Amino acid sequence: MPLSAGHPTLKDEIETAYNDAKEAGTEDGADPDAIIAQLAEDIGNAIHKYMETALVTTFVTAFGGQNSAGAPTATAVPAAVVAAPGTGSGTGDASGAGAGLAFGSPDVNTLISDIETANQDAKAAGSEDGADPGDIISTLATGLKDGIHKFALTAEVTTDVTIDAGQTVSGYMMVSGPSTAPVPAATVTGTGSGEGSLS
Amino acid sequence: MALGSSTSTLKSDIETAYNDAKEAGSEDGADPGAVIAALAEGVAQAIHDYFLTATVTTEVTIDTGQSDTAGGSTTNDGSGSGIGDPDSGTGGLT
Repeated sequence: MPLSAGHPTLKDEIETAYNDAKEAGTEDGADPDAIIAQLAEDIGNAIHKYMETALVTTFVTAFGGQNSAGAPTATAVPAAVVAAPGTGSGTGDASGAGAGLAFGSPDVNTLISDIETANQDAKAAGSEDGADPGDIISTLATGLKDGIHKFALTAEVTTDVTIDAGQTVSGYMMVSGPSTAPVPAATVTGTGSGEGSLS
Repeated sequence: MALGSSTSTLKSDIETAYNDAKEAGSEDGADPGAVIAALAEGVAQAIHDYFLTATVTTEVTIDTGQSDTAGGSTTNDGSGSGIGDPDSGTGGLT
């Protein structure tokens, strides 16, 4: 499921979080801190869920250098090496085989905590005499931005990799009469995996 | 453009969403449900636009056993690198 499919859900869940906070705030004896904590948890979880819907695609460079063996016609020198770099592609879809984006629970909790802090700071600023709504909103936006950005950078990326065919394999030699001759070879499609991060 | 280059836009888009909500909420007969829906849409769009700018980098392990046209195959893992950058057309997040 791509981010474009997760985006409407993100909007719906943020809307639900705000509406729940509004409803909770209208109740007698409402606890603002508890409402903010719940709001932060709901929004943090919504952002987490949304980000994990991402499809990852990468362009892969294969460095070459692997040893090769087992060619039946390489009767003189049976060992070779993948002598040229190659290309490939990586994909990750967390809704599929497991590769894709993942976040650790501590990082999700930090996101929730950062959102809660941003809202608490806005509440505190708003309760001061002569509070400037524009300044409060700007500070809130900065707090939310910082929390979201810090969280996004914690993503653990995994990909399933396909290596394109065609890397030259050099070194195989065959017996050819009284001498030897090279056995031409090139790789066929390979597989692999990738691990990384976002920036 | 990586995420680090998009944070200022993320901040300003969130700020705009909240300011729009404040303005809408201050109008006579404002509908709280509609104001919240618009706020949620604005915040969600800001996050979505920001996240799509991410650059992906990976270290790649190529499995042992990759065959070749002479009938042999690799006997050790290979290595490589992966990049997903929407600006250079090499992928990224979608």
